[in-house]
Amino acid sequence: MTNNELNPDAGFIELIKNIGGDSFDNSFKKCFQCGTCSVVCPLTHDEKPFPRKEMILTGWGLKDKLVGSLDPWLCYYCGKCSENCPRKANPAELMMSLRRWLITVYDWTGISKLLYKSKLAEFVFLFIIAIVVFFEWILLFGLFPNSGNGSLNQIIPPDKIDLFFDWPMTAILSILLISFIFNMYYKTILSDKNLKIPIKLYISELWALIFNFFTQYKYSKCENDPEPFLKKLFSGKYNYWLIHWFLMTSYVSLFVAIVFFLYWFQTDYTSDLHVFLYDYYASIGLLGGLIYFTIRRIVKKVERSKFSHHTDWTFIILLFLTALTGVILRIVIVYKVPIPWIFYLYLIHMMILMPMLIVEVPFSKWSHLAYRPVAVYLSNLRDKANLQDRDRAE
Amino acid sequence: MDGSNEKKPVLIIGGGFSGVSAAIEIMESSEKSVVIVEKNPYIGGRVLQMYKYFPKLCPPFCGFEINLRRIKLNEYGRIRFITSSEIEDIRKEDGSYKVKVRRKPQYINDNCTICGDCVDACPETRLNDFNYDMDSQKAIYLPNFFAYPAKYVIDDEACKLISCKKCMTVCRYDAINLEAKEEFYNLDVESVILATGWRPYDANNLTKLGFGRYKNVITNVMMERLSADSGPTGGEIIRPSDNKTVNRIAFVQCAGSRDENHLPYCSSICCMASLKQALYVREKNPDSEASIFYIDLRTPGKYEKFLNRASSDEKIKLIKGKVANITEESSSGDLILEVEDMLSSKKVKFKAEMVVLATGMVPNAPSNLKTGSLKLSFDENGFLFFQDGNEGIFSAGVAKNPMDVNQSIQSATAGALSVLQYSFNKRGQNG
Repeated sequence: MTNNELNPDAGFIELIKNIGGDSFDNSFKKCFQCGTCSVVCPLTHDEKPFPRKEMILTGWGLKDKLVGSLDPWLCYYCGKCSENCPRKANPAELMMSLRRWLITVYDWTGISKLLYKSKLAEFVFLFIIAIVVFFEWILLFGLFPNSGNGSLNQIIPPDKIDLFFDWPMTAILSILLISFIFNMYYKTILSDKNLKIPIKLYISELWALIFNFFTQYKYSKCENDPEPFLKKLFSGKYNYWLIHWFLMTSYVSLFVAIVFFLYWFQTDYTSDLHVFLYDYYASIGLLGGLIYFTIRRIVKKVERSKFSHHTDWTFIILLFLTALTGVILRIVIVYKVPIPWIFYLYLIHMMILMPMLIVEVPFSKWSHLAYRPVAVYLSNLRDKANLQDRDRAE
Repeated sequence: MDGSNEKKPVLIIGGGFSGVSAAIEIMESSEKSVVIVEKNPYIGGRVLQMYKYFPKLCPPFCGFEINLRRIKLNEYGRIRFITSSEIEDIRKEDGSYKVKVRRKPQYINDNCTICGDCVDACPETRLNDFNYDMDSQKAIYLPNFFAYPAKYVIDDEACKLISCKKCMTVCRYDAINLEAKEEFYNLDVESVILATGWRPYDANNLTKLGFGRYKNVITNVMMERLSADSGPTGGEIIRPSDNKTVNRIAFVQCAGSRDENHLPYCSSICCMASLKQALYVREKNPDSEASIFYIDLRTPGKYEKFLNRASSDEKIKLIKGKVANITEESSSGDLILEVEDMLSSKKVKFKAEMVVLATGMVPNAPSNLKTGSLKLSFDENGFLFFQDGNEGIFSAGVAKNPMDVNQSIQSATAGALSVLQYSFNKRGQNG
């Protein structure tokens, strides 16, 4: 197959329509390719800019040309294209839908395809994992806590939680996610035979990966009005970025700590750092951030919150319930509430936490935490390699 | 019914090219008489503000002069103009329409010889709306060099009237009465043609394109005045910020047109207008370069030839891509246009000395028209597309849908024929 051959896939158009917003029905017919969206986008590149190109590729069902595209991940959904679109064709929501679709493309197991297609499949999947967790728990700790004797750490030893829950789950999810990321790398970079990226670039550009992961700096670029940084900060234009960043750092710090230092949480002994970082920072970050995003998705005032796919809601609600039960659990442990309370709360917490992570991390919305910075990194590599090629040719 | 309806005149609302054309057609092909109610103090409407027509690039007053001659040739006085007037009310009664017309105070009577002494004496000024406020004129003024009726007009918002009286004292013909009052006319007409025309879309709404913020961003209708010999610069195409001759001009097509946030429809004339303007920019200044940014060029039928004529000029560049953002380089006053060039798929920043926004046409009715209890049907954009012919209400010109002058004349002729058919059928019923 040469690069010029076009393989329209009518099913693909339907697929993207179903995975996107309600107002998204005739968008591909409405779009008249004026390029307003590409011009107003603060994040797009000057050559082959998005999202105009994505509108026509999707409208024509040219799936082949989108599978290897990193551009959907470079969009942070500021919504300027949809606000300014003269045809109300909603290119911003298209980019979001393409991200949803790409998650299913990188996943070779086919599970995420099922989750994105059907609400029911998602619930059944979550429910099965919850049941498995329930029985695993009963096998390990019994249905009733042995309240007569022993502390929490004797009844529910942290190493058993680690060994039977946290570590195997982390291992499996990491393997899956890394294989999906490799799949993304293969589809976007390796399969492009004309692209040769020197090893040196992989290393020298690594900072971009780390920098983007920890700062999510690109979010701030969504606000491209010619105003000073502080003015934008105080007028609330960076709220979305900062709250999203707060939520992400809370989540990451908690996740790492719980997987590797669970015993920190199963005791009332607390260092100052622990109290500050986990009991306050991460708890407020998770609960506050999720309430903020929930309100925005209910109010639907700005473009990026106007449409919520069922997987968006599942992620927000499950993460919120995980955080809520986790915070309550932490409180009852610190304030030494009778053991049975802690025992059942712990069980409930695990029955929400495990399905949430297993479904969301590799197969659903969570995965953007990994895909986005990797895509920014790979796109940087590709641009720089092309630039070096061109320089050499000259 | 006594059958007297056939002697009742036809009311034409709007004395632009469509209204005047319809009036002449009715007059010349029947014995009916016509009343034209015109909001402006002159007849002719928008065409008089044009520099040249496409595709022939001839001046519009040429065609209009023929119309005026046809009006003057009519010896029976069957055409009546009520200028500076608006409809106050229209009611259907006993098979005919009772119309109330409100006329602004007529400070100047027909004694006026347009000698101009009053203008020299007048101390007050007003913005020249005929030139889209690009220059100013005295509060007593001739609306345009082709004004018909040919007499001066006083803008009573700028004039101090009786407390000044300087014009009255210099007038040798007793033509000025500063105490004139509003007048009302009652008409009884058989049928009505709405030829209410259009106004340019308000470019101030196009915030991303910088109109109103940057002096060198103008609209296509302003460009016509800027090029016209009777315009604010005497026909020299110089830019507003520093009166520099424009060498690099850009035309932005679909400025607010085909845009759900502004005008959702295509006005059908702006592509031709910009091609025409590019041609005369090139004609007036051979060193100049004109670039037209478009989504797609709409030059239907024989107009394709005109497109070929423009595109064969090497210095007229046609670039596919919609300009979505304009910023000003404050040091030079030049403008930076941001566009995605579709054919190369690159985001481009284009520098121009002046930008012309090709804004579309907005129908004057319904918002600028009082019609009492008259039932009219508008489409979702405010055009009078479908009228019930059995009611004796017809439409012509841009009031109906966006069109050029050529099509307006055709629609006016169609309107005139409809009026005559209606009258004929009515007579048949009554007789």
